[in-house]
Amino acid sequence: MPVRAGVTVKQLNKHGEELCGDTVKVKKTSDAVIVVLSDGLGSGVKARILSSLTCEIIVTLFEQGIDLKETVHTLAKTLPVCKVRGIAYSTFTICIVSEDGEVRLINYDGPPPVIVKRCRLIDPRTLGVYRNIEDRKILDVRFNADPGDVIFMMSDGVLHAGLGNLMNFGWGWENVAEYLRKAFVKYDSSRKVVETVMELTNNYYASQPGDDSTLVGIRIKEKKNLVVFTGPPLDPVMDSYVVNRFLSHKDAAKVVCGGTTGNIVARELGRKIEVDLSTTLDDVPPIGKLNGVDLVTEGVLTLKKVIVIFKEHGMDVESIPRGRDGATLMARMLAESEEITLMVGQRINPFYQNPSLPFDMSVRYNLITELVSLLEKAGKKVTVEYF
Amino acid sequence: MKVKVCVGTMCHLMGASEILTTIQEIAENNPDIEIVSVTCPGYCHIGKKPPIIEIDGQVYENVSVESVHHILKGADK
Repeated sequence: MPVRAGVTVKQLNKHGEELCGDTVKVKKTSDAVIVVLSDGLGSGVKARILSSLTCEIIVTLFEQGIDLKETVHTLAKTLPVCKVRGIAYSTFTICIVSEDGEVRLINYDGPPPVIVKRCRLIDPRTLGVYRNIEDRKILDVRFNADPGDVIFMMSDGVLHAGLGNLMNFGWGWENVAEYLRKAFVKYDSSRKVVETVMELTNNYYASQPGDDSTLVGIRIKEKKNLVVFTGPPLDPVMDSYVVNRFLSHKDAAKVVCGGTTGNIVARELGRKIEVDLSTTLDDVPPIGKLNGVDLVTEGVLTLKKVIVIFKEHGMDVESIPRGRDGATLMARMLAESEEITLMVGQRINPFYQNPSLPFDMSVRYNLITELVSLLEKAGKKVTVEYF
Repeated sequence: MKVKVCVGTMCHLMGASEILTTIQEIAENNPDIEIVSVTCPGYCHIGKKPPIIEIDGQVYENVSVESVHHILKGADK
C-alpha cells in the first residue's frame, strides 16, 4: 500500500534568543519525503547557520541520491569552524519515508528518534548498529512502516527540560519516549502530541528554555488520490466523455462539485442525486448522495468556503475542524490527498453574471486558480484539465 | 402533489432554505404534499429567477415565503 508522511514541527527558542538554533527541513521528492532535523553548536545565529547549512546539504545531496558517507564527508569539509571551540559541529537526524513504506532513520549525536508502531514503542537502536563514518558514530537503520505508525525526532533541548530544576537529570529519552507513545495512543494525532509535549517541555523549563528545543512528528498515512469534477463542459457534446474520464479514475476518491455538474454525472450513470438537507449551512448549500461518487457538493459557494477553510486552518487534516457540510468534507478530502486531479468545465451559468449578486459568481476559474496555488504550496501534486 | 425545491447555488443564495422550511410547515397539515429537494435543474440558466420550485411539472420562479402559500393553495385546487 503506497504511503505518505504528514509532518508536524514545533520549536522553542532558548530563553533570550530570537532565533532557534535547531533547523528542520522537509523535502518531498517524487517517491519519498526527506525530513532533516539539525541542532547547531551553541545557540542563536551561529547555531542557526550551522544547523540550516547541515539541513540544506543533507537534503540536497540525498535528493541527488548521494550516499551517507559522501554526505558526511561534505558536511565535515563545509561547515564553518567555531572560533571559540575550534570545531565544526552540528547534530543531525534524518528520516526518509519512501512511498513503498520503507523508512530509513539516520541519527548522529542527537537523541535517537522514537518509533511508535501499532501503539508499541520501538527504540531504533534495537534495529541496527552504529556505523563509523569519518570518525563519527552514526546510527543508520531501516524498517517497514504501515499507515498509523508515527516517528518522532527531537533535539536534546526536549530531553534536558527540567534539568536541575524539577528533575535532577532532566526528562530523559526513556521518559519522553514513553510519554510520546502514551499521548499518541490517547490522541491519535501527531500534531496534538507534538503540541502537548512541547507545552510540557516549556513548563518543565518554567517558560525559560535552557536550550533550543524541537520536536518533529512524522505520521505515516495511506497515500490517497482525489479527482474533482467541477463545472459543466463548455460543449454539452463532451458531457459523456468527461463523465467517463472522471469515473475512470479507479484508484482515486471522487468529488463532484456543482449542481449542474452533479446532474450531468447522475444522468450519465442513470441514477438520481439525493440531497441531504441536514448538511446545509448559511453559506454552504447541502451535499448530495450519488451512488458511485464519494461526495456531491454545490459549486462556487462550496469552493469559496473550501479556500476560506484552508486559509484559516491550513492544509493539515488534523487541524481542519470536523463537519458534515460540503465545504468541510471536501477540504478534508483534499487535505488528505497527495495527488489531485481537477477536471474543470468552463460553461458559465448566465445568471451568475448578475451584478446584484454578493460577489462575481462567474469566477469558478479564479477560485480554481487560488485553490491550486494553495494545494501546490502544501506540496500536493495537482493536475488541472479544462473542458 | 410533488413539490421540487431547488437547493442549488442561486436558489440557496436567494433564500431556498426559508422557502423549504415554509413548505415543510405547510406539508405538516397536508399529507398530499411530497417535498423533494433537488440540485440545480438549470431553470435559472434559461432566465427564470431564483428561488425556483416545481409543482407537478409546473415551474414557479422568484418564489418568496409569502408567495409560496398562495402558489401551494392554487396548485392544490
